[in-house]
Amino acid sequence: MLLPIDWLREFVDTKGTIEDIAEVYYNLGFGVDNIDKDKMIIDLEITPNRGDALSILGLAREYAAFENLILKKKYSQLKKIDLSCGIKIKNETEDLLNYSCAVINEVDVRESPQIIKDRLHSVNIKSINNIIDITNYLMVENGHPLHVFDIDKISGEEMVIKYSKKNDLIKTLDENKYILPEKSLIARDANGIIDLVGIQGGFSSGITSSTKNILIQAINVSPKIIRKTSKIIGHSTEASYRFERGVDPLFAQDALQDALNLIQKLAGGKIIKIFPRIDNLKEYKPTIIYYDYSLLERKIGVNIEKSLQIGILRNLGFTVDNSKITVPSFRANDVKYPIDIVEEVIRIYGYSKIKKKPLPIKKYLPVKTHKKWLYRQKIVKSLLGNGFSQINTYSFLSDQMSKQFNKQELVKIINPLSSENKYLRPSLIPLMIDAAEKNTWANQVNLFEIGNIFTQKYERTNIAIISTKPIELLNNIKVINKGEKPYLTRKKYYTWEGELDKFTPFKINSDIIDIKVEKYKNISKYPPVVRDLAILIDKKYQLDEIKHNIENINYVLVAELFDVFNSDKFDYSIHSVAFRIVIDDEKKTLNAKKADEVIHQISELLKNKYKAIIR
Amino acid sequence: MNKLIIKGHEHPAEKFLNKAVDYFIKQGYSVAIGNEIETEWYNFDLLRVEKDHPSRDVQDTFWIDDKRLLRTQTSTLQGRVTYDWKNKPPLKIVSPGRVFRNEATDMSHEAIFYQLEGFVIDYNVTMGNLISTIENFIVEIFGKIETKIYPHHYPFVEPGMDVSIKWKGKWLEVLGSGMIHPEVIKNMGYDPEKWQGFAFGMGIDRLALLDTGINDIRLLYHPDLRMIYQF
Repeated sequence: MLLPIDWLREFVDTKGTIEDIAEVYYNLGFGVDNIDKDKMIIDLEITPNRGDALSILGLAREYAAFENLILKKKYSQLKKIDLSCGIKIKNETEDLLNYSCAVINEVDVRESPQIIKDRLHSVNIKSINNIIDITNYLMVENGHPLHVFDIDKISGEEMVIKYSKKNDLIKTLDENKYILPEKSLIARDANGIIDLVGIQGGFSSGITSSTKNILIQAINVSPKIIRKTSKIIGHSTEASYRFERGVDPLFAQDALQDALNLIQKLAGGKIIKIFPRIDNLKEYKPTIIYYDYSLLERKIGVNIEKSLQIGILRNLGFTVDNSKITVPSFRANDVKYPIDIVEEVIRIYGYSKIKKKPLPIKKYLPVKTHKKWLYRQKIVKSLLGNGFSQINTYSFLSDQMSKQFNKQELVKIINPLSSENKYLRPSLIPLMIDAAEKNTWANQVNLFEIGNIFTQKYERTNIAIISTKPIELLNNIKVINKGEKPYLTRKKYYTWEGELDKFTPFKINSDIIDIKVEKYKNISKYPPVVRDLAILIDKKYQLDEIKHNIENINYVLVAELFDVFNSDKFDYSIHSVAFRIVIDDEKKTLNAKKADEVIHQISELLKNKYKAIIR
Repeated sequence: MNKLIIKGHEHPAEKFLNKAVDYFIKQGYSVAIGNEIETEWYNFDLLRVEKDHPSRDVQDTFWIDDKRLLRTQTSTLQGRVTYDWKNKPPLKIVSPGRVFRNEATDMSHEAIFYQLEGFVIDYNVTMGNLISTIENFIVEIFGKIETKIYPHHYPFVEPGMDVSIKWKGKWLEVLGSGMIHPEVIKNMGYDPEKWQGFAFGMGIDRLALLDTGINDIRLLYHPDLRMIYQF
């Protein structure tokens, strides 16, 4: 929700800079998505429970409550003007919370003054003409959507608000046609549907430059019915967005009065009829909460005196009569329970004032899966300790990969990301093979994954291993030969998959090499060049240090240690060490000549600093 | 010839997750693991995310049929541990796991990511306890770093809050939490007059990216060995 500061200042005297104002909103519970210091506009995140904050008025109210100020703007009472004008408004539904309208003749439809155009522009709304602009302007300002009809284009003497029948059709103001489900809110005249109530007005009775006589309405409707229709037809507007979140059920009359004042000012005309209300509206029953002031300390752990709590609540617009608290109509959709009252008080009081208290040390009973987690970690350690590296792959399988499985047994997503992601993986192997094949530059792979697999019968945690060399620690290895269907791989792989719960962790040797890693370097979009470098080197030199120095050389992304061994063929003090040098450049794949230069640099380093012999 | 074994590389997000879970285990939390396919009831209704309310739109969901979905949050374990597995309070639970959101993917967004949920239910657990728990956890994982807490609304907690950390000069939201809503405690099958508690949830992948410097979240699920080798 865009909040221009100059507009806010019409309602409340703000203190400090735009950053100070933004900080107030953070403290009230509205995240700040953006601060535009040039245009002096704050973009606030309004959570779905705060329909009352979808307006300048609502946000000003919040600011005033926090800073202990009074709102500057007052709304005047709506007078009833009772002259005959020929139109009758009837409601045949149970979803109308409020209704107020007026008929104005001889309006002058023309361009809006610059200030209106600028204000609408600052909140990304297009200026059309003074009448339509007024409805949008006031909706942003006070949160109550308005709709205007060209009354001469309404046929007959009656407008009836009723429920649609299935397949009723309407052409809306944006010139789109919608086929309606049954039980949507519509307004009908003698000829057809003229309004998709709460969402958008009909095209046939829209305001044009030649409109002379208008019917302006402030109508309020139940959130659920608007949301339902909006979702089914796939259309939402600024108006429906507000109704879904709840518009103040007592404000329609104030909204209309505001509109009449502004229309008279900008478009002239003669008000010939005002309907402050109509019959058959849903009765507004204020929410009353019986509140125990000690609840706050019990839940939050801080003591706030009753008088202070009451002061805060009254600032926010609540009526407080000891323990009987009446929720203001504009918060009816959000505040329902005593715990909501606690939240109102504590957010104004300040979360930063809550004293931190550590939980007492106490024994709690473990749940049944705790052992599973510990076992999983044991298995991960055992695999790492035997030279396998861990990967994670996607849970979704593409159409192509899924062809090898029986479609009846696969779990399908009704609304996938794309057709490439329709099925849930019934096995970890296909995506692990895909991953291995995307990394063939690595020459060898030795990978494992622990993750969930899905069939129509069950969801299970599996563990799978894929390697370019035989897996000696397991039986029942499945070999995937080069070029074999369905994978058509470029390499031969040894694979194994089984249930995690039934897996026996491998033994870990005490003398495994655990080499220190360096700070992460981001990888290039382009394929790397890889060269293996094997050396004979004195064991006294630390492998961590050697790796560190190699990786310091330009273009070396990582030096992957992949082979270390002793042999009778060389002295006891010497071992063979092999690194896979991954050469990466973010601009391109390095050419062979450049790669050779890098290798040469590394070789010189190893020879000079470590007296290594290049094999 | 005797070949030495070289330790394999641990997945960076898994490593970060383990560090976080281990911390909570040391604080006396027990680990709850649940399924990735969940029912609408445990994922939404029990947690007060009503079907015909806009708060459903906050998390785009992958549906399997009209009752089952891929869980959008690990808060599903709140209902599973209590209502399904019938563990009675007092409880101290963490739950790590994969969650799914039907959203466009880019360098900072994936449809699949890891979440870590935690919740405590006991007689006198307060928001003061929650704030202490969160701040101690942040110090453990990130060291001494500026943190801020702000009110934020989630249907399943009241009061709700967001926790941000100052990372390289910018404020980043890292955690959502709050006092478990009394209606949720009721849905779990327990008396909210007797039991109260807090819950928190964090996106592990995002935090792992901050911690490691990896610039593309998609690498965590579409492995490039150039990334794996660096851990």
